[in-house]
Amino acid sequence: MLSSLQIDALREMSNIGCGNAAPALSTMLNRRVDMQIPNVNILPLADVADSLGGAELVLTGVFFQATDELTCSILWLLKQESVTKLLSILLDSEITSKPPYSSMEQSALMEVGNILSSSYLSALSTFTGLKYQLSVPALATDMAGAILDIALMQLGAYSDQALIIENTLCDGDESVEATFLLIPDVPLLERIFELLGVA
Amino acid sequence: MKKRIKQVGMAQYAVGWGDDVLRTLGLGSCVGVCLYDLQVNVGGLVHIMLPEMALYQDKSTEAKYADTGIKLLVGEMERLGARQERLLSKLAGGAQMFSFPGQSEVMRIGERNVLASRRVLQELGIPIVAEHTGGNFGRTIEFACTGGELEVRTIGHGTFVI
Repeated sequence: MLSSLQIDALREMSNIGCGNAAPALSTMLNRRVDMQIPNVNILPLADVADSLGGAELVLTGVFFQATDELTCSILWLLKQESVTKLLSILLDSEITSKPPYSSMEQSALMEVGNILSSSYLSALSTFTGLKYQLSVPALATDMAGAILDIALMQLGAYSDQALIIENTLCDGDESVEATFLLIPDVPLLERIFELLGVA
Repeated sequence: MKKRIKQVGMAQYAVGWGDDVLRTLGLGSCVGVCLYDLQVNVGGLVHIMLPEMALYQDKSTEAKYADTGIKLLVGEMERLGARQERLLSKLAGGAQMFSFPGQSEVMRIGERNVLASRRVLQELGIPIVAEHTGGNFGRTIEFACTGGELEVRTIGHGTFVI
């Protein structure tokens, strides 16, 4: 169980990460981007997909793994409407993109994910003094449940509960909404609590 | 008998009989292992996440792992009158949803889950009648406890009955 102090510390940490990612997205889209208050969710593994809209909801996920000291999984989740809108802004086209996305469209989405994850983690690294190495992005458009498997697997090795830090970025008119999931592994969590003096 | 649908979440299992249908949504690298006994119309489904309990720290949930999960399921089905020597099995899932260049062991977890499930079933002497595994897409499955029909639904890769 986490104390409310520990949950606050994680929320603050995620605010710092997203506080750095939001302007990066804003620059890319050339429009205002707002950041919602982060949620720190602790829930049974079996309930994670439901908390994100159901295991069969079709989402696009851009997945990263960070290694070295900041060991975590990062998953950016976008609903189909957001992907369509995001692609029309990025590729400056009127075409309505639908899955399966072309390799050009996939590259554009992965590049957005890459910039967001890098800016998030670099802020986190400055804040905690922990080093990280970010993987290349990987993309999938499929059922939410299936996309989440890999991100939850590493937690599953330690516990039946998932700790997920969820943060949503959306542009001014909320037509592009990206949900950011940070899933720290258990050793990292312990380390962060120690560093922040809330162990 | 009225048809009941039992939902099976990640790292969970369910058993049923008669017209019961066992369903699990959005399998990615996880594997749905379905067992059935045609003589007493008893079926079971376990949604496994990882290959083997001994390799991981958490020992609290047997249904999470292929080895302990399948054995747990066999035991629960025997309580409903099934017999291990009569059991048949079908598998679905074990996809690799994301691929990176220079694939790590960790990312190939779907394949490892399938291999572990096959190995455990072989150890227990339970034949695998059909499987729909691998690929890079998610699967929703519905398993009929009587007859053992398994429906596999995907997004953009068709629907199959195995």
